[in-house]
Amino acid sequence: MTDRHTGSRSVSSRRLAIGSVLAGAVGIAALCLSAPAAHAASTLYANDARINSGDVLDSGTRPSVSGGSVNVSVSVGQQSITNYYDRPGYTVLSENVTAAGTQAFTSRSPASPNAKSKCSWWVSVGGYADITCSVSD
Amino acid sequence: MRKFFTTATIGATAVLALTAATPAWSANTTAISDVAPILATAQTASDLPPAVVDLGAIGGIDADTVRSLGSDEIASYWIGQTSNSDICLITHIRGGNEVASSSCRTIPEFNLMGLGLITGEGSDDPSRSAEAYYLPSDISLSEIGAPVQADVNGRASTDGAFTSGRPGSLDLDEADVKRADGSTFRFQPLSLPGEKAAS
Repeated sequence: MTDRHTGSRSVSSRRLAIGSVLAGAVGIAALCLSAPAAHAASTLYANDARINSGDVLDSGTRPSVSGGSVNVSVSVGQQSITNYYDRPGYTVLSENVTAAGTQAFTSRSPASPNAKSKCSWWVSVGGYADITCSVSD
Repeated sequence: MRKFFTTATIGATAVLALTAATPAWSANTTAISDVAPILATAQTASDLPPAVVDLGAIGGIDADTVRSLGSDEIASYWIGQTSNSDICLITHIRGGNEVASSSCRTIPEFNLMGLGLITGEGSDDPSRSAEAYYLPSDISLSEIGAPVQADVNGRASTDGAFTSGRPGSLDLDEADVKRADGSTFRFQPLSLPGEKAAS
């Protein structure tokens, strides 16, 4: 009885497993067919990070940098996102300065190897805010 | 039942009163044709940015929504919308690093503050950077101290809310513009890092 029951469960489990595999394969195929043209992968290097006015957050050196984004949680002051080569020979690749609170993006073409991204927020009265910054490869 | 009818009557009266009291244009409007009429016009081939401007990388902007605001000696400018209807100001610095940037807000936020963007290859080289602003349609450029700027498609006169130049050259004024409905549009010009801090 126990064996039959176990056997029945095994058959059901096997059918379920085959069904799941088939469903998964169909799902993956559908995803592949519907996927848009590949865009650069984006990495957050600040995720709602608390910063003081004037602070700068840096992504560190990345194998490839094509763009970045910044958004601050408040609507006072300004925010910036800068993609750059560090010293010696500090060079700005692309920069975006906007009002705090906007969704801001910058990109350059083609991507730059071994570059960095940094983001900042500042306001005359000082204070703190939460900032989210990403870099794209 | 009588209470129901009384409540319904009061509710209907309130709705009618609100409808009558609301001006045709309101600070709370979310109709894109009211705040940015250019986005309600038909798109033409000249509205489309070059392929080097990756609209997906600068905010997931829908190409079908993009409208040209014009060009100057180094930069081209567009307005567009994301898939969730945020409105975006787009700038492309032609040549060099082919910098393309955007600044996006929800329509109600745009209505209250407009959009501004300084972008390029760094504040050390203003000749390769651009400063641009796009304002809601009921705000005159003269109210922020900017000259009206014609665009390449000749639409500025009907949409007239765009100005651009090299960073620091525009000399725009902070402004609180009172609207007919009693709300205030607040304009804050941008400054580069290291200049006078924004308030």
